[in-house]
Amino acid sequence: MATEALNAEARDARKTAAGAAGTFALALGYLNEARGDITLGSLDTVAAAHVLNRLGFGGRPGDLDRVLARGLDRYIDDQLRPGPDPALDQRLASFSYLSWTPAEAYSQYLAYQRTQDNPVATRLANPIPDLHAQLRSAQIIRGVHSQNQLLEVMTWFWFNHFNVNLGDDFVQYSGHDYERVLRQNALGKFKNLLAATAHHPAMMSYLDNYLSTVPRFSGTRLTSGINENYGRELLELHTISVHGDDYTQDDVYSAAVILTGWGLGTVPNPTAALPNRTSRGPVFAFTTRDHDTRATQVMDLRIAAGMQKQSGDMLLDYLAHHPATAQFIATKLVRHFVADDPPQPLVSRVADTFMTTDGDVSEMLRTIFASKEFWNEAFAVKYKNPFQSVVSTLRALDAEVTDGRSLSTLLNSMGQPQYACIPPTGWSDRGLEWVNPASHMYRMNFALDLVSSANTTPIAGVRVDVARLLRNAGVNAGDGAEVAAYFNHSLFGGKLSARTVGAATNAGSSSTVPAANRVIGLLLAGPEAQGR
Amino acid sequence: MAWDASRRVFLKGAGMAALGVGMGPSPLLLRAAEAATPGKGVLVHIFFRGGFDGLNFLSPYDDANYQDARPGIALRKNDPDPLRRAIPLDSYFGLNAALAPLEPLYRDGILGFVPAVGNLKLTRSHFDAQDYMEQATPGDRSTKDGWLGRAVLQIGGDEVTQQVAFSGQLPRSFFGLEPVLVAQNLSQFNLRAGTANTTRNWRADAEPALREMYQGRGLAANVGRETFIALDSLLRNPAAMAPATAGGPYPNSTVGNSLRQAAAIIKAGLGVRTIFVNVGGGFDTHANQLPANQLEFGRIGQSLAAFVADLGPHLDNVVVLGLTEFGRTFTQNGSMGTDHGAGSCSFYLGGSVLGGRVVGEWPGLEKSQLNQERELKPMTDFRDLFGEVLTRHLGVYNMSDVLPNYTPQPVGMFGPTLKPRYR
Repeated sequence: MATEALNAEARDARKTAAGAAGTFALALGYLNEARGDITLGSLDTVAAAHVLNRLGFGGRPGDLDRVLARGLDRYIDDQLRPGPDPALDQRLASFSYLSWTPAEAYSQYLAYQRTQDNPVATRLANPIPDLHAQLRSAQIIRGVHSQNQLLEVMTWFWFNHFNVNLGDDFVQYSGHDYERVLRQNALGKFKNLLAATAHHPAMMSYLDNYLSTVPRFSGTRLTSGINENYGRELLELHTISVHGDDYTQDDVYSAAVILTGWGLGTVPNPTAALPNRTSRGPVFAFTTRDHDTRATQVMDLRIAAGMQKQSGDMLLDYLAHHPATAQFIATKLVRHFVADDPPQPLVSRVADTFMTTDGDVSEMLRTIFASKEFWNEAFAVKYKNPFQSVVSTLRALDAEVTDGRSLSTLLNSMGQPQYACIPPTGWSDRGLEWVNPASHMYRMNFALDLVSSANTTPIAGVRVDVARLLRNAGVNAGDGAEVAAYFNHSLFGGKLSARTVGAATNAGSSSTVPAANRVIGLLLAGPEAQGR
Repeated sequence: MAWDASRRVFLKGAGMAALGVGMGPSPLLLRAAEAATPGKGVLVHIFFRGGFDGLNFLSPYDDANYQDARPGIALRKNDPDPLRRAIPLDSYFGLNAALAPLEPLYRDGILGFVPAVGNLKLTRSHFDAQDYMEQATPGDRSTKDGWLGRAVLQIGGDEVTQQVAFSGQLPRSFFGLEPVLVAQNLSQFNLRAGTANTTRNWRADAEPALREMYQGRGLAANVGRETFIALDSLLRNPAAMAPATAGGPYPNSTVGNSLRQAAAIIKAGLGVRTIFVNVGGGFDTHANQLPANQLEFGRIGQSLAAFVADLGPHLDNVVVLGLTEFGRTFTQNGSMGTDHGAGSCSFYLGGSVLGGRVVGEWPGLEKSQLNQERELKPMTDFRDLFGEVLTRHLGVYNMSDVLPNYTPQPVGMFGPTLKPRYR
């Protein structure tokens, strides 16, 4: 039966009420309810495929059966408590620049720059483009290979929420560390995420807060003063949201006043002036002399005159516990994991979880994964963004990625360059905004390219071995129908339409591309593979 | 009209599937070719995201209030420093020197400016203001579709290539029931199916299979069908697929590469009617804004001049409308930049416009004339610009569907007649 019919049935079925939270049995109950009279092979297969698609970047061959063997509940629990992943560490070991602190990265840059200015020195290469290439490669490799898929999904989510643009100012030297800090906190408390970003040079630089100072004058002329950029986005994009409680321009200004002095400190710079030989660099610092100590107020939070950095900490704490923040974060989480237009009852429950658990991300996710709304989506589709599409396609083919540079170029072409969303809003997390013919063409071409190569390296840095994949799975590569059936089960939970399977297995065979490769390439270029 | 993605189907071409899309020359495609006859206006709408500083784009250089409020960043008439130089257009307004290529277009009467555009309901949030502008229903968050998405329903024809967005994502302006060709680089828009190595190239086998797969219903099937329809159309008009970065007079930048491709598809006679050009970059100038302005405005000036030269007589049929979501604070901030404000500058360009002038009201820059004493007061609602282009250029007259609950007032971009001025 065609998936759209499934979707229609599922939507009708959603009108029925269901019980409370979360076990595998309940999930199957919800699914059973959601599918109406749809007959599918097995609901647990649908459930496992859904979990792999939404908690992670889709399954690799064999993952679905491993999830079922582990048990859905335990698998979700594992994902919420990420463990060590030595195989991943091994894959990332060669990206040594990523272990640099921002200050180290900057000092490497300064060393390079010094050789540029010195006619007799051996010129060093600029390490920053390589640092960024390593970061982008590592993001793809983590997505493709990490056992802790949910951790990577949430790291992406938070980077997008607290967006910075890697090419910007001091973000160049600190963006990789910013992501590391977000990953550390990705499943923890929201207040820790918020505080980590507010104390990070990447954010201080990207939203210009290091330039924001108590107003200073030379005569009547303002020489430095308040910069509203971070204060505004802290309220609008990081916490309360523009859709939340009505705050005013005065609140924005007051937030900026409170956060004056939060910015960048100095680092050693051999080319800087004596006696200190230091200059501003990518390290967080609170600078007392830049701080505006006037009494002020942001919404209900009153700040007395004369306070130092503590007023900013109070502001962050106030915002991290505000009901409008809970509502906003809940909305974004539900949009990411459930549907472009988040079902409000679930948003309310997740916001409640936020308020009762001090903004615990894992607990909010548990509320989502135990919800009827989440499981109903097993029969619907959320369109993948380019990153999700590329990573899930690689996973589906059991690809080995050692170097992501060509894939980064592809993502640029698809409209989602990594770590380079220029506006502070981050990328839209509504799948349908990524639906367009050009991006779609790239997706189809990518899937077809990966299976068409005469060797196992279709793209530099990417290894795909279809024959081995099928051998490992015990599938007869000469039988297109068997290949299609295996992928239908292991990636799509049995939900492929007869039209898709038929078209893939009946395609012509005028090239030397093997039948199994053609079938797999077409299934991954087809309509069901575009959704998650 | 609510926008439901599952309804985003090829409405006007509902018979498309039955006709066998891409399986041969379709009557609809032939009709689309007819649509590309002269007199069918083309809109190129450039949206500058980030809120560019209209006061340093079209600078009121002769206003003492402006000079006082921006001692470090105000532009000055014929200043030796190009970062701070204004090229006088008249005794009050001047162009940022980075926009020098625009001066001859202004003098020729094919380029004009609207100096204080906006709407106070737009808010100082980038994305809120952009959404409101693109939905064209300021203050109403419930609008799901975009003004161009609504407008194209009133423009005849069936081709997906009538609506083109040079963008990484579908812009909200185009949200609606009609499909849109969204691309950054049309020259790469082709199905490859394998390597150049002929024995590993299986496009001939893969393409029919994919076309068959995408005959179903649902979002992915719709976009797949749109993709193949657009491909058919473009392959028939290879001249439309200009490389995105081919050098020449267009600067290598988003605005330059997009306008180069826009000119190519206009000249190729694809029947395109509405083109959206999405431009991000360094407009959100909170700090040290003069070099950022020089870079970005320089790209805009060079790109528009290249576009005019490239189009030649086709310009008679084209109107470019440039818009940003808001302007910036009147007073410079403490970091030689400006924060989020209200009114900003728009420009219009084309063979049939009445340019060579600054149209629309100007609020003045006395403290009492500013909005909340901090920013340029918007005097021309952005929907007035939309309305005038729709009626005078695109032949869309039913304003209540496109700009609900609003009666646009023409600002005079086309003057009193429709007589083409470009020669």
